[in-house]
Amino acid sequence: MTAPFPPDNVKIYGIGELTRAVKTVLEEAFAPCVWVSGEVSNFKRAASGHWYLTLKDSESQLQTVVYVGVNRRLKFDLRDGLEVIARGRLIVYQPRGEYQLQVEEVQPKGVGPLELAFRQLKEKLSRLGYFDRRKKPLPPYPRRVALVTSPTGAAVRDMLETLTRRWPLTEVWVHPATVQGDGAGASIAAAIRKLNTLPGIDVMIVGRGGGSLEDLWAFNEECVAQAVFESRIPVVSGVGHETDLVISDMVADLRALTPTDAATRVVPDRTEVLTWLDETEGRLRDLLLRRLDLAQRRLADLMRRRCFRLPLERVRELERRLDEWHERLQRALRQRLAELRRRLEAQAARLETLSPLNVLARGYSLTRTDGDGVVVRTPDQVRPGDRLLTLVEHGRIISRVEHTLDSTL
Amino acid sequence: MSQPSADGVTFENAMVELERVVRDLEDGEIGLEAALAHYERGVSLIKRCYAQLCDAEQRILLVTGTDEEGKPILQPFQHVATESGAVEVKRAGPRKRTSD
Repeated sequence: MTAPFPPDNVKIYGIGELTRAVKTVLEEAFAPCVWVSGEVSNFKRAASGHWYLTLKDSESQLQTVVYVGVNRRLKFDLRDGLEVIARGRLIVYQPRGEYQLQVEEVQPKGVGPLELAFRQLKEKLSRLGYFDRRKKPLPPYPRRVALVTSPTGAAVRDMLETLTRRWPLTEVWVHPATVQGDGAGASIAAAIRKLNTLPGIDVMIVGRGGGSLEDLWAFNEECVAQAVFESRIPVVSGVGHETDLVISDMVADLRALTPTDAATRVVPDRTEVLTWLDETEGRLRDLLLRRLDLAQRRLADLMRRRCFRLPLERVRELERRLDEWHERLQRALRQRLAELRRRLEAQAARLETLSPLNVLARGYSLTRTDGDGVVVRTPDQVRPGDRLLTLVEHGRIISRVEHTLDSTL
Repeated sequence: MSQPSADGVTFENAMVELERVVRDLEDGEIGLEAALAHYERGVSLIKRCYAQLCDAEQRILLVTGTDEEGKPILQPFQHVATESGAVEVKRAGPRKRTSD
């Protein structure tokens, strides 16, 4: 004999009906919310933006979902192995008959969420090489400085005061940015990028005054770090007080302790430069005087040299040499003249022997016609009655032709 | 902004040249005439830097946006403090801090 199956008087549930009943009981039992503690595993980001994961401890596992509306507000990343405390609603997912935790808020265990977020971003940026790059040098005398900060409040005033006091030659451009609250990071990043499209900016300061870690949070956002990293203009980060260290400080070309410190670091001090100019003027004068002194000493050295002490010595020597030359010249001239005279006398003597007068002296004569003075060489040159002029040794004879004869000798 | 002076020399260039003039003169290798010229150049650079520093009046501008060509739209910046009353930002000398 067997008992009837199912027994009489039992209620038989449909699956959906049962699940609905369980859902009601379970969800009411843990309403309005439940707090759990566990370790993240099987973490997945769905295309929809929702996060799916399992929270577990040594005994059990709990299916968990963090919808996009919730996870977008989280500063830090959930990742496998992270111990967390979560608050949420326990719900039954009817189609699969599974229960899961719908997270409304989650925080890391043992460490603040912002602290964790900071650590995580720092690790990530370090992996990307954001902290190892070469820092851009700051210009020594910037002509235009840009400030990315809130246009109201103490920080901008402190920076402007410092810039004006130290270095009024700089033009300052204030680019307003929201530095606190929702959208602050994006606002700062946009300002940095915008300034990089504008001309003539030598350096920029990104900063704000002191506040809580939450107040300063924008400067720990990845979008700000990226904008600072990509800036072609050197960036000085001056955020909060001396003890505050934010991501933008680490990525910037220079970390200043405060906004005021940032302003101090980007411009020289007018008083110091004026002092330097004063000193330099004195130094230039000293150097010139030293140079003049050197020139004078060298001149004095030269003046002590022999040629300057006995200036006529050289002249005398030259005069002496000149006299010698003069004498030699005269002697040479005299010799030459005597020689010429000798040669002339010799020539004259020779000429003497050839003179026709010598021939006359030996008894010869020279006869010319009286009219045209032609030398009479043959009888037919003359006729009887012609006057002749005959040259003899001591005078002339005038004669008349009697008659002519041809030579019979 | 330290506009370059009439001959286009910026403060920075003037300072760089001044340092070089002093260095050259310190070397003592240059001739007397060159030394005199260096001295005169140095003194004129010092005067110029002095004048720029003493005449300078800071310009502070607010970037309110950019026009269609991407040029900045600027307007004079008047600081309005949210605390401790209004603060006049355009002035010559240092003034006492009211808060940090």
